[in-house]
Amino acid sequence: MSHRLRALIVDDEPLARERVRTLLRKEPDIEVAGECGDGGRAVTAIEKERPDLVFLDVQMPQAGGFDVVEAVGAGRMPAVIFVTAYDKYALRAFDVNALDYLLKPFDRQRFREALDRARAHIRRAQAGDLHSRLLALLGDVRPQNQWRERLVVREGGRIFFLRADEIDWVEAAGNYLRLHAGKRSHLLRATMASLEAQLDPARFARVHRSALVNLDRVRELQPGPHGDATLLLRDGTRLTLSRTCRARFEKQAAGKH
Amino acid sequence: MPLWKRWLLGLGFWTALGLFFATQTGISYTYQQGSAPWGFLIRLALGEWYIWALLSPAVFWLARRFPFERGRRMRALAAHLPAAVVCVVIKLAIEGQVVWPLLGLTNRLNPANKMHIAFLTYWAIVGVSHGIQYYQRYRERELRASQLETRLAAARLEALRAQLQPHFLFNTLHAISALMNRDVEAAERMLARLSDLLRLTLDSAGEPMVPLKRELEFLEGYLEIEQTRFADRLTVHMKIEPDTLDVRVPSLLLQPLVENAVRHGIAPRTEAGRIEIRARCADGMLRIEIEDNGRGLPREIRDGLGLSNTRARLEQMYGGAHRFELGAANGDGSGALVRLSLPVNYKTHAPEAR
Repeated sequence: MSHRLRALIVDDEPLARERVRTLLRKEPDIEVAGECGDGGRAVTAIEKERPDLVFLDVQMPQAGGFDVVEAVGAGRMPAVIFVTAYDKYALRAFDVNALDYLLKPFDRQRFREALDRARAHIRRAQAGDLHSRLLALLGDVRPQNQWRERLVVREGGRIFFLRADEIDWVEAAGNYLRLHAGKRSHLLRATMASLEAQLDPARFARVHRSALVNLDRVRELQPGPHGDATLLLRDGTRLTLSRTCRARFEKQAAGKH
Repeated sequence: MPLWKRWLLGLGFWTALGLFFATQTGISYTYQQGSAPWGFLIRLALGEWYIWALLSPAVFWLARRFPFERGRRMRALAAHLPAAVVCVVIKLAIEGQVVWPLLGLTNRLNPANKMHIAFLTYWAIVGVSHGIQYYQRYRERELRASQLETRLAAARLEALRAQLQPHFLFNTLHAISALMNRDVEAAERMLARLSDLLRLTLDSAGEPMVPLKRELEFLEGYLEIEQTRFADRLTVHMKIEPDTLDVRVPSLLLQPLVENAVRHGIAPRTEAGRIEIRARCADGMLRIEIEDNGRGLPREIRDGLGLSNTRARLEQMYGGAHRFELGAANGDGSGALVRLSLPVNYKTHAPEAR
C-alpha cells in the first residue's frame, strides 16, 4: 500500500474514542489523524485534515453525526463509519442506505469487518456512490423533524452549531443575517426567506421585511396607531411589528399557523 | 356525599329517633290507661327531637373544631362543657316557649325532668361526630396509602427505566470495554457500580423511606459511572453535613434529580460541567440542593414526567410540609438549581417497610 489511511475519531466520550484508537493500533495501514469531542470540531477537522475515514458518533451534545454530515456536505464527506449506542431510527436509516455502522459495545471482529468494508470502499474511490447514499440517509433522517433544530455557524475559522431555540431574533444585514442569541450575535450567510422556511413557524415569526423573532422571547405587544405594533422582547429589545406582518404574526403566536 | 343528601339523612335520623321515643311513651300510656293519644305523642316527640336537628350542625361544627384528641383533651372539655350547658338551655327554652304552646299544652315545662337527658344528648352528638370523623380519616388514610404505593412503584419503575435507558447502559458497557484494555481494575469497578445500580433498582423489597446516606451511596455509584464516562467534563462536589446522614428520605428521590442535571446540564455541552450536591439541617428541615452549571432548564423539564412524579410523591408523603423548587442557578438563566426542604421528623403516611 502506497500510503496509510488517515482516520478521524469523533465521539463525545473519551473512553469511546480510546476504544477505537486502541483497535486501530493493530491496523498498520491506518493512522489516527485526530480526535474530536463534538460535532463543531469534527466539521473543522474534516475540512482541514481531509481524512480518508471518519468514525462518527451519532449522538453527541449540540450536534450529532448527522449534523456533521449536513454541515460538511454529503458530497465532501470522507468514508464514514457511524457509531451508535442505541438509536433504532438511525439503524433503520443506515440499513436502508447501506451505510456501515458499529453498535456500542463492539468487538474486534465486528470492528474489522467495518474497517475492511471501508478500505474496499476507499480503494475503489467511489465517492459519488457514498455521496448519494449519505444524501439519501439525510433525507431519511430529517423528515422526522422537518424544521431545523440547529444552524451551522462559521465564525473566524471556527464552526459551531447554534440551537434554534437559542436564537432570540434575526435581522437582515446585507447578504447576511445577524442571529441574536443572548449577549452574542452571529452572522449567517443566508436570506431571510430561506431561513424562515427552515424554521418552525410555531416558534419563529416574521415581524417585518427584515426581521424574524423567536415567539418564546416576546414579552409584550404594544399596539401602534396605524395597525402596526411594537414588540417588547424579554431582554428589553424593541422590534417593530409591521402592519402587513401583524395578522400572520398573531396567528402564529396563537399557535394557528 | 352532597349537602342535600346529608341534610335529608339527618332529618331522617331525627324523625326516626322521634318516632322511636313516641312509641315508648305510647306503650307506657297504653299500659296504664288502655289507650294512647298517638298523634299527639308523635307530634310531641318529633317537636322535641327536631330541636336537636336544628342544634346538631352547631354541635358537629364544635366537635370538629375542638376534637378530643391526644394533647387537646382539656381544651376540648373546656369548650364543650359550657357549650353543652348553652345547648341544653336553648333546647329547653324552645321546647317550653315554642313547641309546647304550639301543641296546645298549657302546663309549664319542668326543666328538671329533661335537663339531664338533654345534657347527655349533647354528648351523644359529639360522640357520633367523632365516630364519623374517625371513619373518614381512616378511609382517607387507606386511600392515601394505596396512592402512595402506586407512586412508589412508579418511581421505582422510573429509576429502573433511567438505569436501563439503553443509551446509559450501552455507553457504560462500551466505556467498560475500552477500560478493559488499559485499566482492568477500573473496568471491574465500573462493572461493580453498574451492577450495584441495577440491583438496587431491581430490588423489589425496596423501602419507601431510607436514610439519606443510603440515597447518597446510590448517587455516588451512579455519579462514578457518569464521571468515568465523561472524564474531565464532569466534576461533582458533595457538601453533606454529618447530621443529615440519618434523616429518612423517600427512596430513589435524588437520583432522577441528579440525572436531570447530568442529562440537561452536562451532557449537552462540551465545556466542563460541575454538579454540586449540598445537604444540611436547619429549623427541623433537611435542606438539599442540587446545582449544575449547565445551560439552564429546558421548558419541558419543569414539568417533565420524572419530576412530576417526584412532585406528586413528595406531596403525598409530606402533605405540603415540604418544599420542592426548580429554578435557574444564576441570574442570566443558566444553570439549574433544585431546592428540597423535607421535615426531619415527620410521621409520613407512608406504609412501613413491607
